[in-house]
Amino acid sequence: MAFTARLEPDSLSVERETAALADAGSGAGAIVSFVGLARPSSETGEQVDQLVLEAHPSLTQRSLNEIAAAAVQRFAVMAVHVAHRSGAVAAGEPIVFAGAAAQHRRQAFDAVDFLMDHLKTDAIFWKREEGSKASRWIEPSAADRASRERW
Amino acid sequence: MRISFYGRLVDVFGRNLELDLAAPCSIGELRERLQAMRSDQGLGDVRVRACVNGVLVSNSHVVRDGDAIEFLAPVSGG
Repeated sequence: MAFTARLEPDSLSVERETAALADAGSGAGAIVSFVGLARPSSETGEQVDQLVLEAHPSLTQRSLNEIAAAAVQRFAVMAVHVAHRSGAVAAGEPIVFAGAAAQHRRQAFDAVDFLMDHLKTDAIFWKREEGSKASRWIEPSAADRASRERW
Repeated sequence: MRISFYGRLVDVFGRNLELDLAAPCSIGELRERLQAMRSDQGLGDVRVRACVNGVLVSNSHVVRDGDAIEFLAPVSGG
């Protein structure tokens, strides 16, 4: 079983990623996908115009590969597909696509849940929220860390 | 040598910094030297990782002129 884990510096097309996952999971009985979007406001309610994701030239790709490979190893899935933006992402635009195809729905749901919980804490990115008034570096929340500990 | 920074460390040190290293030194010594240059304690955060020639290393790792050195602020995740 192979996986796709791709860093996307320009734009992320949900339709294209969904089609690629369907191709990779041909014959599956269940396909589950998740799309994460850049929020238009910060945790404290300030307007956010864009989210800037800084990536490392080698370590970021390696971290995506490791997370996707771990999902393949752990769940009975036919395909795992991750595409993650880097660079400036405007509010409302997709940041991440995470999907899995499996014979049965539970494995596909669990694989995607696992992928997202690990991407949210372990993927090598530095994120900065930028608004008209200020910019702010952000770190994983306590809730993100607790979600990752479930696995 | 060129030292590169990621995440919030860029606000303090810039993206890259050129530094003349007269003699080999450890990553720990390099952290102290850089902190003194900017009067900033950010590199003392144990969560700030050092990467030399693409490999994560500890504070005892010795660097030499010509090494590609990177300091990584705590990651935000995806």
